[in-house]
Formats: sequence, C-alpha cells, structure tokens
Amino acid sequence: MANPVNVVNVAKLFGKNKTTRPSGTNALVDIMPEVLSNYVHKVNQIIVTNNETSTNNCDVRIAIEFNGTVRYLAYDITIPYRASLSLLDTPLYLSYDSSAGVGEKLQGAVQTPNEIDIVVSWEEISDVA
Amino acid sequence: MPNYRIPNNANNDANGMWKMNAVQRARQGSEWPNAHIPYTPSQYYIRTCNGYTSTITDGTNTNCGTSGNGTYQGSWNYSSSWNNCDAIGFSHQYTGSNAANYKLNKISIGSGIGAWTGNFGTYISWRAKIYAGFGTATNTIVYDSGTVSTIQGCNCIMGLNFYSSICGGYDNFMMLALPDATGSADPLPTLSWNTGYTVAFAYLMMNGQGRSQQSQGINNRAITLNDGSTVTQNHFNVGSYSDNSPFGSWNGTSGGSGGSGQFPVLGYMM
Repeated sequence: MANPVNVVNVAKLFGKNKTTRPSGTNALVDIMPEVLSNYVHKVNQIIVTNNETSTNNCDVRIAIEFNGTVRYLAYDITIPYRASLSLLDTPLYLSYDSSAGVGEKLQGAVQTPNEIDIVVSWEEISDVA
Repeated sequence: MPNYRIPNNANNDANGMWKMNAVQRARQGSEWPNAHIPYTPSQYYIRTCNGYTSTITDGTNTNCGTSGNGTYQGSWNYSSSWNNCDAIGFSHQYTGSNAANYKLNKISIGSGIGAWTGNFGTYISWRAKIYAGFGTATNTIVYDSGTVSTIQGCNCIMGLNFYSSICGGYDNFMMLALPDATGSADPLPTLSWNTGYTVAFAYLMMNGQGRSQQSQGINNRAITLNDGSTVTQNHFNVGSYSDNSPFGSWNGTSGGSGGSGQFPVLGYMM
C-alpha cells in the first residue's frame, strides 16, 4: 500500500509532539510538520496556552495548510491570560496527497508575539514497513 | 480552575483548561474575556517653549512651521564664526501602563536663510545624533543620522522640506524627520522613560545660515496621550560638547525659561 495509508494494516506508528511559541503578529507558522508520503497523521490533541502572567488576553488562529491553501479550525479565539484551550474533542487525520505531491500540516498564528504556547500531539502512521 | 461552567469576565478568572464548547457558551453569555489590543504608538509633539509672537501648539499635531512663532534672534551655519551645532537634553516621565517606551523621530529648528537659498533644487546637508545622558562629551551615541540631504521648499512642517527664506518668513520653524535606518542612518533607538538623553543637530555645509529662536522656554511640559496617560517632558541645558566635529561646538539652547536656541518642538512616537 502507500497513499492513502490503510490504517488497518499499520506497519509503523510513532507518537510525536511539538511545542511552538509563535513570535510574529498574526503570522501563520508551522506547528507540526507536513505529512510525508506513505504516512497519515492522527492529531490527538492541540492545546493552546496563554503564558502571560499579566492581564493580556490573546487571540489565536489554528489552520490546516495544504499546497498553499489555508483553512481554519479556529479563528481569533481569545485565550484569557493564564488559561488553556483544548482545541480538539476528537482526533483529526491529516494526510498526504500523492497527486499533488504534498501533505497537509497544521499552522498557528497569535495576536501578540510570544504570549501563546501551542502544543500538538499526534501519531505518525504508515502501512509501509 | 473555576468551579462553574463559564468564566466570570469581570473577575478575570478564566484560568484553567477549557473546551471549545465552553468557550462558545461563555461567548454567547458575554462572559468570555475580550481580546487584548496591544498598544500602538502614535505621533505626538511636545514643545520646549511657548513661541514668540504666536503660540506653538503641541499634542497630536503642532503648528511649528507656521509663520510668526519664531524670532530673528541669532543665526547659525557651518562656519567658524557662527554656531553650527546645537543640542538639548530631555527626559520623559510617564504615568500609565500601556506604552513601554518611546522614540524621538522629529526635531525642529529655525528656518534657513542666507546664501544657500538660491533655488528650490538646493539640498541642505545636516546630521543629527542622540546620546545617552546629558551632553555630548563622553556619552554613548545611541543614534546617528549620518549625512542627510533635505531639499529646500516652502512646506516646513512634518519634515517635507528644509524651509527656505525664498518663501519669506524668516521667523518660521521647520520640522525635520530623523531617518530611520535609511541611507547611512542608524535605526531610531527605543528610549526609556525617566531616562536622560541628548539630541544634537549640526549643519554640514557652508554658504548659508539658519535662524535660531528666542525660546521663552518652558519646562515640565505635559501632554495627554490617546489612552489617557500623561507624558511630561523635561528638558535640560547641555554644557559639555566634545564629540567629534561638528558636534564639538557649543550653542545655547536653554532648558530654562527665557533662553534661546533650537528645538522648539520635539516629535515622538509613543
């Protein structure tokens, strides 16, 4: 098999995690790597935390980027200072498109630089041994 | 984490882990905290003197450059027989919490007169520096405009032209914009509240003269920013000039009342 990945015949499964503190203003940055060929990513958790100890609330955007196109999971959700938001209630699959030769990936943007920490946890799954 | 479903906006007690559904319900109930709007600096002007025959205004705008608010007192140029450099010390007190710092981005001086006013195609060369502390002797240079060439013209406000006496009105002031990392200029430095600095201006060319002004100086000039906070500008005489030429000369801008010199208005982003 290969693309799409048949998750009934899993040959490899890697648990992964990535933390990001965006330093731009409303500028999307990668918060997890792009899905590679022969893989599918099962995103289990996206946690967004406002790390400010002052009273600065901060907006956040989370999006799926594919081949230059951005579609938002969340747009300008206000995260109160010292609060966290669990963005996913159920897992989210991101895949690789062999016809386009690119995979999907998650991106995030924040209203105020360095005020938001984004934690993404996912499984990289492949049916190719 | 609060023991109820939605945070209380008034108490800012949203600390904790939230799910999207809870956020949606809180928003619908107008209980989710509002977004924080970062402070955005704006252009302001603060005067060091009242003006002579007409009052100089300051705040979000200034009439510095309007005919009649300077005087003919004194002249200066790039010549051994005239003062070619002037400086003034300043510091700002700030009452507020939004603006963390500020930048000096405009300076005003007396209008150009004399021989370099042959035509409007003539460029006037000048240079400005900002020093940490009061004086130019041993102080650290935090900004250097490098050589700036500004064309003569009649619009003397907002740094568009080097105001020329061809237009008449020798008693005008003009506002010069300090270049920000363009040409050989350094980036405009971020300045701190309650800290002393000195700004100095010098002509780099001969064959011309520029007016000074009788300041009828004021001190502790306060303006109110858009967010309601207050900035009080204190300014000071500079008694020590020993930076390299042309900043090694001495001149008489006064921080006290009744003095004379340059810099009737200073422009800031804050």
